[in-house]
Amino acid sequence: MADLPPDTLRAQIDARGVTIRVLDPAAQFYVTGTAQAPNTIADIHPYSLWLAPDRTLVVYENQRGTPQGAFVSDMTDGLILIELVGPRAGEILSASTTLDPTSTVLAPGRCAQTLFGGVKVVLYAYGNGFRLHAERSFAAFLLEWLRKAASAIGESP
Amino acid sequence: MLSIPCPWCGPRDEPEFLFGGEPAVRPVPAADVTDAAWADYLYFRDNDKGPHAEIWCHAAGCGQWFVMRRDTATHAILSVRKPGEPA
Amino acid sequence: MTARRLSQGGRIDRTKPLPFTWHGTAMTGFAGDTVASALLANGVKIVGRSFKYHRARGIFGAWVEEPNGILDLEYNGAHDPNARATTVQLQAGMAARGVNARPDVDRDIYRGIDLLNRFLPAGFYYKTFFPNWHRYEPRIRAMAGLGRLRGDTDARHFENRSALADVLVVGAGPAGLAAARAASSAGLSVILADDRAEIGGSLLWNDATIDGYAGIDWAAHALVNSGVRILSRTTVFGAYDDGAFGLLECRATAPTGWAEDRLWTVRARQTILAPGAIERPLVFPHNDRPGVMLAAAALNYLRQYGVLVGDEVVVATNNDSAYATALALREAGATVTLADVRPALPDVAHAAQSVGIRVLANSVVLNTVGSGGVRLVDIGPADAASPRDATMRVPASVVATSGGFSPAVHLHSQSRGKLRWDESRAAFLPAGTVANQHFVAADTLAEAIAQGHGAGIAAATALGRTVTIAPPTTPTAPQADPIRPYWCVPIKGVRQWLDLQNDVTVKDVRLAARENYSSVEHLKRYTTLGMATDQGKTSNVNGLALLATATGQTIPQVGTTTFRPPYTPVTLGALAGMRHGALYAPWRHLPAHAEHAALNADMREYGNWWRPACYKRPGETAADAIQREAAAARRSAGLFDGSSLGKIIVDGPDAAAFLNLMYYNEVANLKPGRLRYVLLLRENGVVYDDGVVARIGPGRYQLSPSSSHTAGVLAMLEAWHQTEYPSLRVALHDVTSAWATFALSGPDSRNLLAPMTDIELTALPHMAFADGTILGIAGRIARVSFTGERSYEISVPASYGPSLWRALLQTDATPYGIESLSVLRAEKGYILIGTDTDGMTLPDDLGISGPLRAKKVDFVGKRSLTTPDALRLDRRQFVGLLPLDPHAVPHVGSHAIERTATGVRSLGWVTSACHSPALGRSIALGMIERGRALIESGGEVELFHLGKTSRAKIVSPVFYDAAGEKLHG
Repeated sequence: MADLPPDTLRAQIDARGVTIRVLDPAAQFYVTGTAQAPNTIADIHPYSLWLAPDRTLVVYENQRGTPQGAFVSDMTDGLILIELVGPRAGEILSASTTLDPTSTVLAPGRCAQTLFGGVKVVLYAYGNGFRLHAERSFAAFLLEWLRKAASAIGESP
Repeated sequence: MLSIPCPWCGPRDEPEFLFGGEPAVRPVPAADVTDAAWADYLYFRDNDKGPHAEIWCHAAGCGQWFVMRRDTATHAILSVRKPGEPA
Repeated sequence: MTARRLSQGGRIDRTKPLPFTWHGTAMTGFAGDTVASALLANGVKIVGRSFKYHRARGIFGAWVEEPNGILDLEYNGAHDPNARATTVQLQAGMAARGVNARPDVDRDIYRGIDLLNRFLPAGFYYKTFFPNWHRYEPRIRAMAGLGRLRGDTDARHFENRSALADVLVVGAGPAGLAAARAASSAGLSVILADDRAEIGGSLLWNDATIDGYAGIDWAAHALVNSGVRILSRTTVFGAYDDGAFGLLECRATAPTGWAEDRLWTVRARQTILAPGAIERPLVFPHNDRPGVMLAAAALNYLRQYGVLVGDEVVVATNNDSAYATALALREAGATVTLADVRPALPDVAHAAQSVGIRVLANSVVLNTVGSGGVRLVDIGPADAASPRDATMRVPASVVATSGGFSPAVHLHSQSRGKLRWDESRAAFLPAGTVANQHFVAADTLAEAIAQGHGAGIAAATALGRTVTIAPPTTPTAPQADPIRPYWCVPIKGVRQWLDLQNDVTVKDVRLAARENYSSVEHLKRYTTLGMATDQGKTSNVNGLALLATATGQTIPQVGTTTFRPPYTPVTLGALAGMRHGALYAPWRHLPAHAEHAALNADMREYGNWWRPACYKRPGETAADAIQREAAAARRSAGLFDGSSLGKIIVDGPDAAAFLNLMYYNEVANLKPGRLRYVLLLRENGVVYDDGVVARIGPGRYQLSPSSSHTAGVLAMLEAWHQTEYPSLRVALHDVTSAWATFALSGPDSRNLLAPMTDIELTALPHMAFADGTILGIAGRIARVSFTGERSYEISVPASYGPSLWRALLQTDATPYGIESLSVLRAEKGYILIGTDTDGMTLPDDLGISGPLRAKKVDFVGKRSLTTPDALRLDRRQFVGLLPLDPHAVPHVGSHAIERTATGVRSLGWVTSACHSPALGRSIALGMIERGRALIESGGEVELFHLGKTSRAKIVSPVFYDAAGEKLHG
C-alpha cells in the first residue's frame, strides 16, 4: 500500500507596501486545560494564543510537538496561517476588520479574535506585520479578499 | 453601532456580537412546571423601557456569553458581568 | 449679462486648462474649478429644471447646500446621474448634461406644466389617487426623478476603513483648526475631517488675519508637524452610538477612476463639531429665477474661482454678512444695489456707500423679471402689500441674497442633542451638550478661534491631558448690527419659493396649515419641503418659520424635523466596500474542491459551502446525472464528499452528563466505538438538528451535526454550558475543517474499500467505527449511512483529502452529489431538517418518541413535549406519498386538502418529491394531519398546487428496503 501524498497550500501576494504569504507551520492544536490571561500570547516555541477561558491555540512553527493539556485536538490540517508584512499591512487590517491596527488590542504580546472580511480569525502583530489564523475551508475566500485589498491599498495617496 | 465592553476582550464593535435577548430563569424540574409557567418562560419577557437586562455573546471573538445592563431608551450600556458573577 | 471668469484672482490654476462639455458643447475650466464654477465661468445660466413645475434653475449655492445644480456627469467610463455640480471637482474630459428635461434644460418641452401650477399645489399627487389611484399614478411616477440610470455595472473600486482616535474634529475652518491644534498639543491622537479639497473652510473666501498671517496662509501651516491626521474631501455624514461616526472620503484623485469613495468608521473618545453654518436666502416673489443665489456663494465664486457672477447685481439681505459680498463684487467691477430689510442702515453700510454701492434701508426685492434668468429686479418697502408698491426697477442679472445663517447642527442632533431657537441670532443652536461632544457656533472669527481652542481644551481635559499652547490671535472686529428675521414678503397672489428643487412655495405652507397639517413633520411630508436631494439645507428654517406664522405658534413651538444620517448622499458602493460579487459573504471550499472542479461537477452553494450538486457527463442534464448517480450507488458503489459535515469533539469528566442534558436521545449509555442517530431540540421542543454522536473514548464524544447547522449547534452547546451548566466540566472543539470525509456507499463498498485499509471491515457492524490507516494515513472509518446502502464514511486529515479522493475514484465508484444523495435518502424516508421539518415539528411528529418516555433528565425541550399542543391528536405527521400518476412528481409545498361543507382546508403539505430510480416512479414525503393513521388505513389525499389537483396514496416513508437488509448486511 503506497502512502498518500498530502496537499499543501502555497500562495504569495506581492503588492506595493505589503507581502502576504501562506505559512506552513509544523503543527497547530486546540488545547483545553491550561491557564492563560485573556487575549494574550504566551511562550515562543511553541507559542500559545488565548481563544477562550477554556481553550488556547498552540502553534509549532518549525518542529512538531505535543502540547500539554487535558484535552488536545490536532488542528494542523484545519487551520490556515497567513502573514502580512510591510508598511501597508496595517491598512489592509483597517480595510478588513473593525480594529484599528494601532490599537492596544494588537500590541505586542496580545492577540484578538475578530472578523476579517467576514471570516472569524485570530489576529496578532508579529515581526514587521501581522499574522492571522482561520479555518482552512475559508482559504480561497481569504486569498481572494486579500488580493483585492492589496491591489487597492498600493495605490492610495 | 454600539461599542460593547466584553468582560474578556474589552470594547469591541457591535457586529462582533450576537444578541441573546432578555434572560430568563429556566424553571426546573420539568415535571413540576405548569403549562402557563412554561409558556411564560418560553415566550414572555418584561421588555422594559429604560435599564434592562440582556445577554450577549461575543460570537466573532471569544465566544463567551455575558450579561449586560443597558438602557433601551438611550442605548447607554450601564454594566456588563460574566455569568454567575453577582449583579 | 452672464457670469464670467476674471483674468486674475481666485485659487484656480489658469496654467492648467481643463476641457469639458456641457450638453455636447465644448467648454474650458481650470484646475481647482468645480463643475459649477466652470459652468458659471462659461456663462451658463440654466443648469436644470425644477422637479414639479419644470421651471428653469440656475446655480444657487457654492457647496453641499446647492438645490439646483444636479447634473448627469460622465468621466473616464464612470457615470453619475445625480451629481451635485458645486461639490464635484472638474476633470479634463468630463461630459455634463442637465437632467429632468427634454431635449435639454434650455428648451425643456415640459416647461408648459408651470402654466398649470394652480392645479398642482402641494398634496395634488395624493389627491389624484381618488377614486382610482391607477389612473394618474403611473404617468406621474414615470415623470418623476431627476437623473436616469444607465443600467451599467459600477466597476469602480470602493473601500472601507476603520480608525480609532482620541479626538475627531469635524470641520477644518478656523474653529476646527484651532481645536485640532490644541488637542494634538496635549499629545492626543487627532483626526481632522473636512469635506473640501483644501483646509481652511470659510478662510478660503473671507479676508482674515490670524497670528499676523493671512487667514489662508495660517490655515495651510497651522497643523504642520502636529501629527494630526487630516482627511480632506471627507464628509462626516453620520453620528452613531458611542462616539462612532461615518465618514465618506471622496478620492477624486484616485488614478483608476473618478470618485472612488472610501467609507471610514471612526470611533472617537471625544468629538469636536466645528461644521460652520449654512446660509439661507430671503424669500421674495419669483425668487427662483436663474441668477438668484446665496450671497456667500457669490463671494465664494469670486474669491475661490475668480468668477464674477454678474456685472449688475442686487444684494438683498437682513444681516451684515452680505455686505462683504457687495464690497467684493463692487471691487471686481460690478454695479451693486443693496436692499437691506432693516429699518435703519447698519454701520457697515458706510463702507459700501463710499465705494458707490446704492444702499437702501427697509427694502426688499418685490419681484424679479426675465425669462430664462433674472433681467430686472423690483425693489420696494419691506412691508409692501403688493408688487406695485415697488419704488424702483433695477437692471440686474443676479440677486445675491442672505436671510441669515443656520449652524449645521445635524451631527449634534443625530447624537440626540437638543436644539433651542436663539431669537437674537435667528438660528437653531444646540441646547445643552451631548456627552463627549463639543459644538462650536460662533458669529465672528475671534469667537470661532476662541471656541475652537476652548473645545480642544475641554476634550483634552476630559481625557486627562493638558493643552500646552496658547490660542491663535486675531484682531477684534467691530460688533455687527443685529439681524432682522424676515420670513417672506407679505404679498399674496405671487409665488415665493422655499424649496427650489421640489417647487414648494409659501402658498403651499399656508395650504398645509389650512388643511390642518400643523406639525412640522406633517408639513415636510405634505408639501415635500426639505425632502429633495439637498434635504432642505437652505429651505427648512424658512419653511418652519412660516408655518409658525400660519398656525399662530412660535418657532420653538414648531421646532425642526428629526435629523437623520446621512448629511449628504453616500454612494451605495461605498457602503458595500469590497463586500459585493464574489466577496459579498464568506464561502467555504471542501478540501477536495479542485478535484470536483476537475470532474466538471455542478458546484452550488449550500449554506456557505460550495459543494457538488451532481457530476454531469457530456450531454447530460442535471436531472439525468442525478438519476444515473443514485442508480449507480444502489447497483454497485457511489462516492460522496461529506467533508463539510460538522465534527465537534466533546471532552471532559462530565461530557456524557452534559450531552444527555442537551440531546433528545440517551447518550450516556453509548458504548465506545459506536454511533447513534440523535436529535437536538430547541427549548420549545422543535427539532433543531439531527446528526450522529460517536463515543470515542471514556469521556470523549464526537458530534456530527448537519453541515449547515454546525455553527448553530456549537453556539447552542456553548450557550447552555456557559449560562445554564457552568459547573459541568466539559469543553468543545470544532474540528470540522481538520478532516476530509468521504462516503463509499453501495453493495460493492466493502469489497472496494477493504484493500485500502488495515481496519477489518467485516467486523464493523452498522453504526460502529474503528480507527486505523487508509492507504498508510491514520484515520477513521465509520459505518453510517444516509443512502440506505452499506456505507462507510472514511475520514483522514484534510491535507490528504484530495489524494484520497483520487485513489477512491480509481475504484470505479461513481461520484454522486448532494442532489443525488437527496434522492437516495428520500427513497429511505430519511428526513432533511428544514426541508421535511419546519419551526413547529416535534420529535413525535417524525415518529421518534422513545426518549421522551425513557429519559429522566431535564433535557432541552423536554417540558415542551407534554404541552396540550404537543399532545394534540391531529398534529401533522411524517409520511410517504405515492402519486397515483407514477410519472408525475408533485411540487414541494403542494397542500393536501380536505373539502368540507364550508370550503377547503389544508391537512398539510408535500416536503420532498422526486423521481425514484430504485422504484422507477415518482415518490414524495410530507407532513400530513394524522399521518400515521392514514398510513395504517392506506388512505388517499388530494394534492393542490396553483389551481391544479392530483391524488396520492399515503404510505410508509420508507419506500426502499423497509427491512434494512442492505444497510445491515
